[in-house]
Amino acid sequence: MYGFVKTPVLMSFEINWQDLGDDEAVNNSIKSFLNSHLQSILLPSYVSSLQVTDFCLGGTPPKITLREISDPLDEFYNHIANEELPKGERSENDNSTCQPTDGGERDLQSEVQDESDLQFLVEIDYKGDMRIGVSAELALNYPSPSFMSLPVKLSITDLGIHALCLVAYISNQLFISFLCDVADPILDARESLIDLGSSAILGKKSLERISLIRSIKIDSEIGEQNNVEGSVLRSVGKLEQFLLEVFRTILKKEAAWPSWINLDFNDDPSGDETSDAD
Amino acid sequence: TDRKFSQINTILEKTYYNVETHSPESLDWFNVLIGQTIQQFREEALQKDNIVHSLNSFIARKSGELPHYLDTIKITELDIGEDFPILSNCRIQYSPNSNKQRLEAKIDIDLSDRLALGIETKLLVNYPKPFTAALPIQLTVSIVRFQACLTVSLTTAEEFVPTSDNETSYSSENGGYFLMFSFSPEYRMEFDVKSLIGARSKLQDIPKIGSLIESQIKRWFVERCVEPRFQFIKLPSLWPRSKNTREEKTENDDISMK
Repeated sequence: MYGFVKTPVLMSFEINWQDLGDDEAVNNSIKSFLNSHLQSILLPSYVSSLQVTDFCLGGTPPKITLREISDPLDEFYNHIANEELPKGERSENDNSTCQPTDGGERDLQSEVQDESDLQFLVEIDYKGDMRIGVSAELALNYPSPSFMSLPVKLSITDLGIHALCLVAYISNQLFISFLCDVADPILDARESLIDLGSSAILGKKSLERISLIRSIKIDSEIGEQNNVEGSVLRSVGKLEQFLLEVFRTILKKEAAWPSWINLDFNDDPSGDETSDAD
Repeated sequence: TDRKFSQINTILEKTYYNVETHSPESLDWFNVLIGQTIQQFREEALQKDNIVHSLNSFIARKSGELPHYLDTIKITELDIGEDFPILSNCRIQYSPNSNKQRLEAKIDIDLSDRLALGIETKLLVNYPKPFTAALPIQLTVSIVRFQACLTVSLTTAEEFVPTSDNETSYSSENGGYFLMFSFSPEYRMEFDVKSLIGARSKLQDIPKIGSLIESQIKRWFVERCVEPRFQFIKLPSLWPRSKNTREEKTENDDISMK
């Protein structure tokens, strides 16, 4: 069991977690973020619904250590340049309103570039007590398809991540992107990730990279009378596996390079819009 | 306009100055006087702690105007230097693009000194909630070298416009003479930026931080006093007046005052 951090650990940021871990608004906004992504997932035949019922950040903060400070990567500027035209809309979904420009991307990019833009490479070490509660409807397809439907409660705990993450600040927008696990062999060969334009290297070999989630525990709870039924347990095991994949995918698709979480503080002071880079 | 041209030529003739052939002058005498003035300023500020204190309380008063991502700023060091600027190679020329209707002095300026300001603050992360995280920052910024070519002239206001709109007193100040000065864009300003960033784990002297600070200072400087911008300062009247008259203290005066 992990308590509050008392041991002297190397970290750069002083984190005020007491206020954050219990904050209902924060927990709820993460919950609805997760739910909106669960909705877009194609469910397997043995699951009929999937929903995050509660989310709690817990009492243990991540340890965050600053590793490098540099200029932001070009990709972030490209993203901003593309967004500039139809404000807030992704250009590839919206080709009709996308104005053709003679100047092209580069000009727009240098227009938004500013000396005060900043990018941090940070090491995030998380082994906290975050809890995610998920409810699902398990469809029993044995002995016949949709033979029975069972409500299942799952609880996800013991999430462990020790990864490198880029945090870039450009003209009132924040970009957060997980790069790789700190033990990823990709780090062995190079002094600085940022210098080598990590984009190309990390982006192409994403499949060979070590998973960003080091540990995760999923417990399930179903109606007691079914505990002895082997086929039910098998399906729950499959459901646990499936959920695990779902969470790995959300992290990879939404927050891991070449995708990122983009917080735009320009239009909305609360700024909880998120989008990925595709 | 022809009148102005001939006026300037008369001045040059009668002051025995030929802009084509006159050799550059040293400004040694001026350096001494400037040095004295600076020395006096430093003596007044000799108790550096006093400046640090007054600067700190000034910052404290202004803390509401700081950007939301900065914690309170504390000044930890202030070095007002111990050297003096050296001016040299002074020559008079026609102002470029003035059609020979304005004269200006070009002066080389060189300063090797250490003018330093040390501060301590925290970068605040206000997402998802205010003060979610803080990154301690210690910075010492010093200017160690400044070299430039300075242009100085005396002029009236009519040919120039202020760069900011809120210059309300501008029209009322139209009369009289102005001292105008500017630095050529090929100036050299060398910095020494020391940074220490982080709480228990610290990053030291990151080049990006140095260049960030440098560019902010240079931007401030360029926007104010690098060509084509220049500082335009109204000169006081030099007509002798009784309220400006003084004489040296004598022993007797001191006693009679008491």
